[in-house]
Amino acid sequence: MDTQLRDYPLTSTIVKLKTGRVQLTLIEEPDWYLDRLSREDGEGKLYLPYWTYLWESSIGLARHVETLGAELRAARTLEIGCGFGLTGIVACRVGARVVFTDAERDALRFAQHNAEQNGVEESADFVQMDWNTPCFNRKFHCILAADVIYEEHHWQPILTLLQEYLTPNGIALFSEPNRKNAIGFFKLLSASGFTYRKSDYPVKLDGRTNQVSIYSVRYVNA
Amino acid sequence: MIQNNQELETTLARIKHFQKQIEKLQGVETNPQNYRLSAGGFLAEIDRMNLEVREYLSIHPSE
Repeated sequence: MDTQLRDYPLTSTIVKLKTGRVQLTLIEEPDWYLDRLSREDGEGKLYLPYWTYLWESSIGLARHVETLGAELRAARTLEIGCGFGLTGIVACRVGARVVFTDAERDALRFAQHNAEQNGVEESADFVQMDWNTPCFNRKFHCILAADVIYEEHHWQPILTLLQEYLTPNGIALFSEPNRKNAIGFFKLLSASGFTYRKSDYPVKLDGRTNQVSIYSVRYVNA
Repeated sequence: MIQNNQELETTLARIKHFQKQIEKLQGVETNPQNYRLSAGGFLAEIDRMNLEVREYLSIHPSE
């Protein structure tokens, strides 16, 4: 284990999927992280640590990814906002080669540890990256994004990322928990040469049932 | 989609939890623009859960 992960109060959980189980090491109490962040970065820009939560959208997307099998076999795949790495780990399991990215360095540490403990590290790379400033010189057949479109100011940078990094016959998979504003993002995609298909997954997490929508996005002419 | 009263209570507790997180950020973030950028995610989640609560409470249990 990355020695820096030991600075965190850790817990673990098992996410049960149709094709198997994924063991994840998580932060036991996300509030602890906020307290620490507030003290250490008091004079800088503060971000609420969204990545310290396991979100239902990542579980929903993982469930969808495991159904894709052949489409992702050997596919060069990019995950943005990977958090604890669940979706990318499942993509690795079905045969994809995944670049896990997150703006937060410690999120990547957890994702890497989780990839290792699920035996997929050979199919994984880890890059600290903000989707506002992507840093690759190759395109990807698949782009994975769980719950990244919750604010409108994210939409244009993510659209630009798709336009620059998705191969012409590629697929981008977005998941989101049925927020009212999400449709605006997909209208933007439609107006920008993409088409999409929506499917829904009920996800039970932390005593709540959530309806997670999965959007499979492709170029219109793909 | 809240399915029963137990999930309702869980959702209400989660809303309160996220509100406290944001209140904490209000206390430490001095730059208003940075504050809005930082808080947006939890505010979006609170909005979504409040809508779920409203939808659940708008339907009679017999329906």
